Formats: sequence, C-alpha cells, structure tokens
Amino acid sequence: MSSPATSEATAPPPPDGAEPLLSVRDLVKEFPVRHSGGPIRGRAVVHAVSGVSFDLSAGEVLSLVGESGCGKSTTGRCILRLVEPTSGEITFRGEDLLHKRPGELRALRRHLQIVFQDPYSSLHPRRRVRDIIAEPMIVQGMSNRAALAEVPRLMETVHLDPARAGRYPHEFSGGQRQRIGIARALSLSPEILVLDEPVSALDVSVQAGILGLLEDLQQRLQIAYLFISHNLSVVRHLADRVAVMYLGKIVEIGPAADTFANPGHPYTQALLSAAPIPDPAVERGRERIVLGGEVASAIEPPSGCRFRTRCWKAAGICATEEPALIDRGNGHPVACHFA
Amino acid sequence: MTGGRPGAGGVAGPAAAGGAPLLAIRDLAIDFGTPEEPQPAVRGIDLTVTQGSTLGIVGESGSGKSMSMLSVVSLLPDTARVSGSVQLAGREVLGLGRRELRKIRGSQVGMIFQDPMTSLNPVFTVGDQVGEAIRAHEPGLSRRKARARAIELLADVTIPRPAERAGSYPFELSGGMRQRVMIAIAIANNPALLIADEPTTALDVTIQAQILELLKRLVDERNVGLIVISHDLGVVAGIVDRVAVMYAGRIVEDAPVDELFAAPRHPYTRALLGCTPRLDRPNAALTPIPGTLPVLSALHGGCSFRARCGYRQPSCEHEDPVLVSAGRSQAACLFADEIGAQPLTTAAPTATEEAAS
Repeated sequence: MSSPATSEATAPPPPDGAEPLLSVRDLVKEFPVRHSGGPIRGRAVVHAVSGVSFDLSAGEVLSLVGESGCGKSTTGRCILRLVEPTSGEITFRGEDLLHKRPGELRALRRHLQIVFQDPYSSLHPRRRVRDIIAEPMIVQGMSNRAALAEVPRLMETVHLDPARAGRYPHEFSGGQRQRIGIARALSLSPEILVLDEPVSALDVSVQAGILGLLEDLQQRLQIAYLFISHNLSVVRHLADRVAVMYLGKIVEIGPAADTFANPGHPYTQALLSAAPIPDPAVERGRERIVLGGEVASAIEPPSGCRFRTRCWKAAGICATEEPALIDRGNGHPVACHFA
Repeated sequence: MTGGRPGAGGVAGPAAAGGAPLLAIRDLAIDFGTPEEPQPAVRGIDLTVTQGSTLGIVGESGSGKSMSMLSVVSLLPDTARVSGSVQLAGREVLGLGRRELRKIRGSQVGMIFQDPMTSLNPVFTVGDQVGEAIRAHEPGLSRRKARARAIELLADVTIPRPAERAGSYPFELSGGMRQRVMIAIAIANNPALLIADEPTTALDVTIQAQILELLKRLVDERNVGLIVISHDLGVVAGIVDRVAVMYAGRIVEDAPVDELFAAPRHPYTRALLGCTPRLDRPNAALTPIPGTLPVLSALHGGCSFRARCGYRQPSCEHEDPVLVSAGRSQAACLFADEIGAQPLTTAAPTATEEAAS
C-alpha cells in the first residue's frame, strides 16, 4: 500500500472482461495560478485532478459524481483534450489520445463528443439551428449539402420539429436547446458522449424529459456515457457504474446499485445522507451525517487522505499515508483505511 | 422530530400583537405591464404564517414564488404594480413609505437570498456588515458593542473562529460561510419572520445539509416563523410543516407537508413529484411535464394548467378553478377530490402534446 494510485490498483477490469473503450490512467491536471494572500505568495498550482484512473466500456454509463471543485468536469474535458492534461495516459480503443497531432486528434474526436451544462452559452446565438447541428459533420469533412441533409433526422432523434431548423437558439426553451446540443453531439455517431451536468440548468419538469431522452438514446444507440453530475438522485437513476470524486481523486468506484446501497467511503456515506429526498416521512426518519467544515484547498491539499480534514473517522495514519483505491471487502474499490 | 409544531392553524404568539398572524397575505397581485397591456406575475394569492410555523413555497422558474415574497419586504422592482394586502403582525405593509419600511425590514422580517456573494457588500468586512445591520435598528449602540454582538451572531450561525472571521471580506469566505453571514444579518434584530429564497441552491449538497440544519435550529431556538422558497421538493420536505405549490402566478395547492407529499390533490403537484428523481427509488419512471408555462398575459379563462394536464376534462377549458378546502388542505382543481383519492403509485395519464420541453 506504499504506492497508492497504481494503475492496476485503481482500475479494475470492466465487469464483462472485454477490452475497455476508453482507458484513463493516473490523469493529472494542475492549473498554475497567481496566488495572493495566505501563507503562499507568488505562483502556485491548483491540483484539480490528481491521479485519476478508470475504464469506460462500450455502451456503459459511468458517472463521475462529486461537489464543485472535485475535478469531475476537468477530467471530462481532459478526455477530449479541451484542457491539456499535465500527465497521465488516455487511450481510446488502445490509441493514445494524448500524443496525437491535431489532424489525427480531429479524426479520433468524431468518436468522442461532449454536451455542456449551459444550453444558453454553449450554442452560437447568431447561427441557425441547422448550421449548429451540421457543423461537426462539416468539420469532419462532409460536404455542406450532405451534412445539412442529415439535420432533419437528427432533430427527430431528439424529438425536435425539423421544421424549426431555420430558427435561432433564442427561439427555443432551455430544454429544447439542450436537445439541440445533444443532436449536435450525436451528428458524428460517437461511441462516447461526455455529458457535463446536462440537466443542472433545467427545471425538474424539463429535466425529466432530457433524462428520458438520454436513457432512450443510450439503449438504442449503445453509446457509452461519461455522465458528470453533482446530483446523486439523477446519477442513481441513469448510471451503471459510479466514481465518487473528492478534491481531485476518486475515493470510491463501483456498480451504482452496490455503491449506493453499501457506500464504503465516509465521503460517499455523507454525500448520500445529505441528498434530500422528496418525502417528509422518509426525511424525518433519516440519520443524517452532517459533515463539518468545507473542502480543503486544492492549492495545498491535505497530506495523506485528502478527505481527512472533514472525516469523523480520521486517525494518525490518514495524515501520513494516502489510502489506495482497492477493494477492502466492500465488493468495490474504496480509498479509505477504515472502509 | 417536530411533528407537533402547529401549522397554519397554530396559535399566534406574543410577537403577533392582538392575535394577528406574523404574515397575512390577501389577494396579492403583481403586474409588470401597464393597465392597457398587463403582464401579470402573481395573480391573487392568499397566505398565512403564524409564529413558529414553517412554510415552503415550491414551483418552477416563473411561477411567481420569489416575486410574491419580495412584496413582503417591498423589494420589488419599481415597475411592479402591486395590489391586495400584505400584513405583518396585523399591520399593512403595501404602500408604506421608505422610512417605515426600513423599520420593518430586519426587525420584523429577515430575508435570506440565494446568492450570498451579490447580497453582501464586497468592500466591507463581514463583521462590519453584521454590525451595521444591528445599528440600523439600534442607532445608539456604539460601534464597539455592535462589533461584539456581531461576533456573537457569527458564532451563533456556527462560523468557526468568529472573532477572526469578522475581519474577513466576503470574497475571502466560501459560499457556505457567506450564506451563514447572510443568516446572521437576517436574524441580527430578532425578527419574528425569516424568508429564505432558495437559500441552498448555490451550495454543494454537504454544505446545503449544514445550512438546513442551522435554519431548523434557529426555528426551534428562536421560535421564528420561516418561509422557504425552493424549486427542490426534497429541501422543502425536510424542513417545513406546510407547503404552498405555485403555478403561473397562483397557489394551486396548499397543504400540511405530509398530506401534500402523500396524497397530492392538484395534478401539478402530482406531476412535479412524478418528474423528480428519488435517490431511494432509482427504478421509478420519471414523467416529464409536457409543454411550458403559459404566457400569463395570454390566459383567457379556464385552468392555467390544463394544456399540460393529464387529467384534463372539457370543463377545464372555461372554468377557472379556485382553491377549495378539504380538511387542512386546499387545491385549485375541479377534480381535486377524485385525484387526491388516487394512490400516488398510479401514474398520471400523460397529457398528449409533443415534446415541447
């Protein structure tokens, strides 16, 4: 256990033993920042992602879940190289994504697409919906005409009326805009869709429709989802597997049903107990773990276990030794000395 | 835990002079248009909050929940035309002058907003801002004494090392800490009523749990009335005694929390519950609500929810339902009794309308 976060330890083979579609090993992303105030002055580094490893199999829904600043979105963006990772390995079908030249990367990117959280800022306000949806196909070398011919079919796939293809984004509601973003991401028939908080900006009544659409598309097209969310109820509804992140690290990873039923990491336990349930009878009977304090600084993360500053189980070993992410009898890997 | 707390029917305490409730809203309407071209936001609501009781107001964006509560502290934009009556402890608030309003804000009602970063002044320390709130109602108090009281208040809202923190500026604090400072300001002058507008929406779930815990404790310790505005049914379920559901500028259902969640009598309440994912029921199907909120200025009679309603009948086209009481619940639906009697497990019939959402 002296060297935590080795590749073998952190990424168990996918359940069916097939070769993973996407493989992430020891992913690290550090952002340099100018730091003023506090004990450090001058240049400092935000440790956004610190050695994250996981596999994504074809047709699987893996959710990265955690609170703001845990590194879940940065991880998603590193996979598409929208953010350049500091170090680590990312392979898609065995091909190294991190050392590709721009041209080669573009060719591979057709298999990996992303849907963003904010359906207002992620669509170009002065382009017609058909051009927004057709753009990825044109970028990939398809003729304008052929690409535009695909638009009605794509709009129908996401339950939008193709007759509105000539309209601009502002003429659509939030939920409809998110459908436009999904249609654009689907235009290249990707094998992996990174969904970065796709329903967080929407009202619940609209959110349910988008979740239903994502579920339906996933089953029909067998796309693998990397579903990034802070909402545990949504994650529980959609995910096959879940990876819980805290301050740049995965603290627990496993099948969703098992992980939610038997959380091994104190942070997962606290997160689950804090998620509100819309049922007063259930709420009254719940034993809630209210964590003290707040997430520690990602500029100076705590030594050893990064969660120890808020953990009720923390002991001496937690400050000196980082717990490896291994199966400790919970049936899935947990990074806690006391799991 | 606190099941015995009186709800809306509870006895008003000493703070409510002459037995008047803490807050009584009657036929409140808010409009942003002109008399010729009305643009209604709130279309006639009634609400009552008594001492020590807690009320949740839920609804989606644009339902009018925040607007109706801003009228209580007269913080609506100048363009708003307000009618009806809003009484705090028996005294009419609508139409009061600035000076009078200033006396009421803070001392009778404390308000907590969603975003503590924009609600706090960035160039003053939080200790100064809490102190200023105290001195606003006790002008004779020295700065030094106000500072000492501010530190006590910061301790009361569980800010660690309050004396040190009092010297911090808002940007030096996390979102959770800033929200605690907002709460300290809201309770600084011991108001009998607290209004929290989406108090935890900008916060992470573990911090949300801390803030909700704090609000619950304040209600118990100080016996204040609390109104929580939220789009999150889960947040409301855990903290209030009574819930008012708003849709299109009206209250469509108002009921004790257990009844509302166990046997909702309005189709919209049922629809909201049916589209909210539950951590403890991962396999339950989610049913989106088809369509969108109607344009309120274009409503011409009939039920405002009918276009999206799975229980719609021909009579809903021309009859505009009003709130009708049944026991301690009220619902504005012509078929509330039949709908309320159906078990929640039966899925509502899906309204036929293409995916407009």
